[in-house]
Amino acid sequence: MLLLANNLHRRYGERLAVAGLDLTVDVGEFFGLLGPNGAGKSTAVRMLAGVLPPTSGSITVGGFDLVAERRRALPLLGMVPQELGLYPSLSAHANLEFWGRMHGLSGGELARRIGWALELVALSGHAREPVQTFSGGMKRRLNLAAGILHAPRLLLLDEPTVGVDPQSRNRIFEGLEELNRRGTAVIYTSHYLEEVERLCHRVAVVEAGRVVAEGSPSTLTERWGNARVVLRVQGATESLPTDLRTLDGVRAVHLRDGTLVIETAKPQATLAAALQALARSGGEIQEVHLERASLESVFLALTGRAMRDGGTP
Amino acid sequence: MSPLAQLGALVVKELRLLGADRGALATLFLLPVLFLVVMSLALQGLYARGQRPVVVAVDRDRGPIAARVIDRLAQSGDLAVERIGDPKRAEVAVREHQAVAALVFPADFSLRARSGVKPAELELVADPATGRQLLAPVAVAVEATAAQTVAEAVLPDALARRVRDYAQTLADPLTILPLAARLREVRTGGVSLRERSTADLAAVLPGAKPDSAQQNVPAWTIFGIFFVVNVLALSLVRERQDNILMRLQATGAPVWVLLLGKLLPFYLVNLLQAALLFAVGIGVLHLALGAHPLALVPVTLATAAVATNLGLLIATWFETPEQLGGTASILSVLLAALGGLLIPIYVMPDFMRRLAVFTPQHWALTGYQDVLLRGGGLGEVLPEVGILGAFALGFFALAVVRWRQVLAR
Repeated sequence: MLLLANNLHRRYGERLAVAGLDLTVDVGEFFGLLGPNGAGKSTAVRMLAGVLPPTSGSITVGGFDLVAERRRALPLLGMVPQELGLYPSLSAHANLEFWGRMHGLSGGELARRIGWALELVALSGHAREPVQTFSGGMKRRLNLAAGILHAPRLLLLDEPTVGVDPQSRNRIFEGLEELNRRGTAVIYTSHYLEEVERLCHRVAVVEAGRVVAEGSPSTLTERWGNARVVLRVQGATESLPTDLRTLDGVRAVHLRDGTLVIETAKPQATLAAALQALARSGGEIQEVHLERASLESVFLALTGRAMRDGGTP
Repeated sequence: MSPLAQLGALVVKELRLLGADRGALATLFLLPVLFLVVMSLALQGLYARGQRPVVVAVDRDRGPIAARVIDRLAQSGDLAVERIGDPKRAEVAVREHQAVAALVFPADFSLRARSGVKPAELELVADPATGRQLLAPVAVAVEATAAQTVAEAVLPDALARRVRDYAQTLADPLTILPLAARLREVRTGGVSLRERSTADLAAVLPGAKPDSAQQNVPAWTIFGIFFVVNVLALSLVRERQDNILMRLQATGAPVWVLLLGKLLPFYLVNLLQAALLFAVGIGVLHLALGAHPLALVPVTLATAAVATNLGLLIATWFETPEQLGGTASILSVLLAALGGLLIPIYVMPDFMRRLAVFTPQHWALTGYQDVLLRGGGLGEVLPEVGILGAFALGFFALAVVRWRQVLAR
């Protein structure tokens, strides 16, 4: 076990931002931390990175206690904060040189790591340019490079693709996947569920400061996710919701303005049964949609709210 | 990850950032609007009604003429006169800017005034840092009042005595006419006012008096040094806002290393500032450095330490550059005004003079003036350097405590 967080609490005055968070991350694992705004993700990441002491609970990294054996645990961790932790007036190279030195690198080793990190994020051609001339995506890529210079065993990323163009997002994904292939474990927080589904081996859904569900994206989808059968209907449909709720696999039925939405774990069987029920009631079908289960639906089922306004990119 | 290596990396980075931000540094020295406002407010007291220069009177003569001069000066409304028995206490009052000058009546003042042989001497003791524009009207008022009082006290007696003496030698009253000729010989003796400095000026520059450069260069040097407070605080607040501080924490660097890494480059900037300002003072304004110029070094080192540590502390109060805004600059200017950099401390109302000792600027200025104006050496500036050092250490300790709290939020 590379990281073990046990019963973490963090209080800000009267507010409990993290309330009994338990996490484990294995060597080489790509772990996703999902949660809406205010769920406590960023606070959790700051505690896991060793920059915020927990009010109670414990964290061990590589077997070292993050509070008591801080100087031995911290070199194993790398952090990529949500805001750009970079100096705009310095060049990309100067920024990396500084962060490398802060992590104890020097001389030829530092130069080699800078070259490697710049290449990984595809910024080798811009090494001597001031960061303030970079696009948002380039800055995000450099932000990632600054976090991996010292080759951490566990990399913590807090919303690393916010405001990034698709090209830079792909570069970041490729870089992270490459790091992960080489054995770096990753904790990844994001609002973008598609990113999490693509990258993460395992996901924890955080709500009100604690984990409410955990597993691989497919496991979570099977366990909590609902496919949606959407029917636009006309005619005698008043009794339909009551009839359909009794079907096997159906978790919720809503009828509004002639649109019938059935959330179900068994979409094929539900669709067939719904069509039969409609035929019996004399209702007329105008349109049919079948939406597969996704992490979004898992999230909705677990937290009762959508992941973010405006959907995913 | 050695803390010393991290400190080195932080210092190099900060110097690089400063090198890339020269425009901001230059601009920060101007702030003309703030300057004007604070100056106007600070100088209000000087022009306020009823604000009179305070003069302490030491009456060693204890005769009627000295007492009359003191009463007259007090009643004139031009000066606020306070009697002090001990000449040493009077000098201390002048040195500590509780009074513009001390007026000392020698023990033989009345005797000499009555004798009419030699002028009766008065001593006006002032701090060398006191501006001529303030001291000159005091000297004129004292001299005129004393001369008038001596004349009024001595002349009638002298005339009566001479008439009486002459009449005794005559049988025929008509022969008193030659008295007119004798009366022409009557002398009241007059008053001679001798100005003296509380410092031995000969130790500074033989035969010289403090000049404009000696008055102004230290004040503006301190003013410039304290401008670093804003720049340093702003730099820290930006790093906090941009999550750079959080990232620095993640490197395992202790808080004291992070703070020293910020402080040392700005400290170096402060020393360069002071060197430049003194160089301009010497080269352009012909500043005389006093008998012990090396004593300026510890004062400068201590002053820069206070300014940089104050910047570290102030940065803990603000979360964004917008919040910080001009607050740190305004604070620097206000402290400068209160500490006597912008207006002389002796023209301030009494309560402001008492407040001045709580400002590091006051002690820095006193330290510089000890060297430049009072001929002081390393021994003389030690108290001021000690107080400034205490300010610096106090600010640093508070900054470490505050930053630990801030970073743990």
